[in-house]
Amino acid sequence: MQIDYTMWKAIIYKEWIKIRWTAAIFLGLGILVLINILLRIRHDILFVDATNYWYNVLFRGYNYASMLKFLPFLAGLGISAAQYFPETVNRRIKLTFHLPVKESRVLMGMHLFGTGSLLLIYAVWLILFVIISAIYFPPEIMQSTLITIIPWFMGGLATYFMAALILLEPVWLFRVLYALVAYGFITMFYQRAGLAAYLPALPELAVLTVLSSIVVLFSGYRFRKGEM
Amino acid sequence: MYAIECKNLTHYYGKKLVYENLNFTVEEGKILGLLGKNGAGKSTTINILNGFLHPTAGECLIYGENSQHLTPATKERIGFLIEGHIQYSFMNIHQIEKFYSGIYSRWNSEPYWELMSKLKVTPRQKISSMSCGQRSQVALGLILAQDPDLLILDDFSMGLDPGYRRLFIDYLRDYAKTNQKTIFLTSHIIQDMERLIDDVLIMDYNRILTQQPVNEFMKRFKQFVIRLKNPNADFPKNSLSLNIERTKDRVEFYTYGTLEELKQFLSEHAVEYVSVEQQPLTLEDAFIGLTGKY
Amino acid sequence: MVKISRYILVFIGILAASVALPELYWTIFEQVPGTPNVYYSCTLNDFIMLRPGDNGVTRQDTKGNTYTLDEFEQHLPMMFFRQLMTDGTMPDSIHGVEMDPTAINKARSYFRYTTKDMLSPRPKLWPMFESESGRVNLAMPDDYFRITRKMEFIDAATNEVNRGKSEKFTRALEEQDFLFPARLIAGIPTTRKSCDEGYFVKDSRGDLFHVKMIKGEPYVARIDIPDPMDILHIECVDLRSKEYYCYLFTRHSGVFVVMEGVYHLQRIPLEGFNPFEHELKINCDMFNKTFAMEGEDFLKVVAVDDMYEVVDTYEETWDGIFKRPDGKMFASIFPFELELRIAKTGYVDFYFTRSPGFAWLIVNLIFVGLAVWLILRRRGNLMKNIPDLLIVLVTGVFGFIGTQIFPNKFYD
Repeated sequence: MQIDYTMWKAIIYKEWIKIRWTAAIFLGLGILVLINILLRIRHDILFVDATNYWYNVLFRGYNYASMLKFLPFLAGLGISAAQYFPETVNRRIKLTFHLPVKESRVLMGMHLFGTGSLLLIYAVWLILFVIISAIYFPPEIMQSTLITIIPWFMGGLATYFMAALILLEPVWLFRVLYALVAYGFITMFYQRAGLAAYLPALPELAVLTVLSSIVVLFSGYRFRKGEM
Repeated sequence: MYAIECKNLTHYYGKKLVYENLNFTVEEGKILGLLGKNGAGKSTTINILNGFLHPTAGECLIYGENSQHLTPATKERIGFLIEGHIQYSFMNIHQIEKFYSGIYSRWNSEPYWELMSKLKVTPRQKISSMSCGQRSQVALGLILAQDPDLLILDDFSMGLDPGYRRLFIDYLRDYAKTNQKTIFLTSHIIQDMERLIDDVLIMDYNRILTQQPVNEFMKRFKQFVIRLKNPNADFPKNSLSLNIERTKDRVEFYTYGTLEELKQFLSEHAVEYVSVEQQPLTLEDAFIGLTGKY
Repeated sequence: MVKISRYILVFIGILAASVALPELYWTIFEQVPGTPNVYYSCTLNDFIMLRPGDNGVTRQDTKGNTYTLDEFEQHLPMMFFRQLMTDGTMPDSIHGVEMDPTAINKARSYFRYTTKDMLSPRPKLWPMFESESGRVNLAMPDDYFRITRKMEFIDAATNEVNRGKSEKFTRALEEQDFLFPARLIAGIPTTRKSCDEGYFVKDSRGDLFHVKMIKGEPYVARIDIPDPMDILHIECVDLRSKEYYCYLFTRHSGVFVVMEGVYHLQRIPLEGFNPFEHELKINCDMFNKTFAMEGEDFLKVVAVDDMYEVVDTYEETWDGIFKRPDGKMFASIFPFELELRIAKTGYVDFYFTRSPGFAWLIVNLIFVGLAVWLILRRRGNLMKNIPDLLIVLVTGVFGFIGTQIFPNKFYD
């Protein structure tokens, strides 16, 4: 399988132009939220006393990272929209499919780039989260909070994948139907539950997230075959 | 090998027939214009050619490959202009050149920048904020810089001022004839087309009206204006004319036939007329003559 | 690849539908059977119960006699002594014992266990209180402990391990031959209790220990338990009577209480209790203890005296969910149900419940027929749609929705 580096560099360049501001804004937003979380923890520990703070986390299910909840979802949605919406305006995806690459390859290439950018943003957020947690809390507390927030990130990835599917679908009726299925699917990642309650579901959710990474090919194919 | 070869092309949208058994070829080095009114099936053909529509029956081959499964190598030889000069308009002219130069191995940016120098835009201006004519200029420059062997242009003249239209036509003809390039274009704007195309394919709803070199068409297809003595007299039906347009005593008679054949027909049917004259036709006049004014 | 992506989408569609549709169904059609609350009456020497019904609440005994609210309260003097005393209807003595409100109150307790108590994420850090501080009120400690490879105390303010204290306690555990790490830690982690009795800890061998802090020093006692006994769950209680420390739930050996001071294990005479399936309600008073075990379709109540000898039992069964009309209709429409959260556990997981029987096959076949008609209507190729039809045959309405929302339209 030959990889034409100049061509892929150009394709990545185009994707980068589309998402760079969105990605930067979300990255910054997430960092701000995490800084806020840090300041909140610091303030609350001073206010209620560390022992009581830990008690709230350990025995009353308090999640100090709860402010993060919908950020991964919004980031997934935003980057998907930034990447794929410009391709759907005036059916511009025709230009992309006309490039001298196999259509499914170029689509997956774009998808990979978007996914990679999203993962990078998530990685930064999670690293900051770990650092903040390690300052104030023992591994047990960090671990159960981490288990609680991981589904949000997986949900964000799944949102990116499903949004791409929906944006590329040429027929409006099916866009709506896919959105309904996506809603049922994505809500699986955001159920209201106690700290660390998601533990047994994590492997299945991970598998589902990975599987959903290629669904964009379906609507891409339907577009190419002229579905009206 | 033909650059383009479409065989028995048939397409239905649901139950509605677009056309059936459409056959045409485009030789390398030639310029074919597919002309027709809106809705006659031009976009359908373009979409099939570009692999964006699967025909109900039949196939199109580009350089011998089925248009639904073009290899990347063949796609590189094809330059595609989408109706409306659709481009990645979130980029500016520098970004878009940088992008495409990495994509196409034969990229020659000279003609692109030559055209861009004539464009009055700021360096950072996004293509989306340009006028229709400016955008078309960008699209033209990109396609020339790509140096494709085959150009497929979907309604490139739509929305363009006469000046831009001429610019396009002159550049394209020059490019194609200098470098032995092939062009397949569709249009419903017929003005100026005779300056560009070698062969013409005229479509009407569901059928092909004619397919021949444009020079021959212009020579053979004639318009005669008959002035009748009696404005209320019926004009007889006939197989000599392809189309007749009548206002009161003025009859426009479109035919491949000769003046003698017409005069013979008129006397055979005892039509009383004041005068019969052949009128010169532009391609646009001929097109309207063939397809009707509605 | 594209075909695979479609099947993934169909699968996701089936998942989403098998969560959403049953949920909708139950919201509309679910009928919860009213199960009775059963109490033992020391005056009637029989069980008396509150049964919710369509016309309100009925109060009856096991022989079917009904009681008014006043009569009901009259026969449960241990429960309603305050009301009876206010009304002036409280007897002076029952079973020869003088009715002293303080004594009555002291002997009363109520405890409820549901499977969710056991099947939920457990805290991994606990506060070790000072058991004998000499002060009236308990104080929250500054640190929390864990028992992993050793016992460690982490100071909450600094997030650092208190080395000295940790080593002290670790040695105390080692001296009792404790095998690290702890598998279960149970206690009452708040200051809102009358006194602190530390924690009950199960080690990796399955043995049981009692761990406390007395005047800053570790107290570790090994509790004799019959071998083998697989302790699944421990619930500590703060009884006014101080009779026992906690309830012990085992896999096959039943439920025990651990008596205060002597650590004697007293088995509760309740046969067939499965902590993974059943709910347990325990009502204690001066004369009797009532243990009510409730499952999906049955109720079993045992009343014992103060020597844990059985004095009376009561059993009742009712139709389980799939034997009731709402459940039967469900099982004839949906082949299965997927839930992410269920009442039984505190965990989120993919809980799959197959509908009993095969009545749903009929509905599935109808959907297969519908799918075939749709294929024929658009002049599709039946052979190419066989996998889809099989999916609909097995998953019914869910598969139908999945295969229709993501159309099977491919050009080769």
